[in-house]
Amino acid sequence: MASVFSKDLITFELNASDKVDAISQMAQLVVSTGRGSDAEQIAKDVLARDEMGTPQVDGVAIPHARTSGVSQSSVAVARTTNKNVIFDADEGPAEVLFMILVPNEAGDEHITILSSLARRLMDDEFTKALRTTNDPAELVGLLENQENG
Amino acid sequence: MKIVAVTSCATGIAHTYMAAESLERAGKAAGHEMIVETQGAGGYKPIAREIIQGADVVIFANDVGIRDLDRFDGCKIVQSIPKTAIKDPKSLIAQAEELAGK
Repeated sequence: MASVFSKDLITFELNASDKVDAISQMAQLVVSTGRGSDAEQIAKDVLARDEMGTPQVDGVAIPHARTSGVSQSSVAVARTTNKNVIFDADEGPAEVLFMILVPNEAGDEHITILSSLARRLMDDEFTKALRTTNDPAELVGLLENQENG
Repeated sequence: MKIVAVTSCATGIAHTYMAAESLERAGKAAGHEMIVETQGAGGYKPIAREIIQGADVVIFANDVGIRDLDRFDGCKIVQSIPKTAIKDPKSLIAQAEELAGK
């Protein structure tokens, strides 16, 4: 099974004008890696899910969706360069975005990985590391190291 | 005391598990035994009826229907949503303590 994480799915300099732009840029990033074919569909599905609420904890937001726009489960990671990306006015700007995308026909293995990631995002030490590393390979290592979190 | 919690959300990928982790951490920090069932996209392992009926109180953090709801007949239930469980788990634990009268 291919990893849901990849160096190519990480950007430390997301310069977005707002939430919609951020999701659109991240969707394009996912498509550019060949993991999906339809950035518009991805963005549309993520925004539809966002209408019911996107979880955010301590500046880390997790937009997510099941979408036909991807062919394999993928987690795109972005750090924002400004304070324009706001999912929840109460929470303030998102500093780190994890966009979790699952194909409509995803198997349980991926769900297990993604649910484990969602749990780890509640861990302060883990999210601190996410904010501070500047090495995509190191970040992928942190993300894949699920069992030792 | 012994607290059973069930978390569930529309997509079953993120909120369900974040809410579960959040409640587990807050409950344990307050000295309670936490038994949490995640009803997510990966299916769920149902907590046995006897365990549920033996709990002091139950917390529901869901925005879609709880499956096998009849297991909770007669239980004291704090009803909430995943967002609250993620953002402010302590308030739900406090409500659970109050409802259980302990």
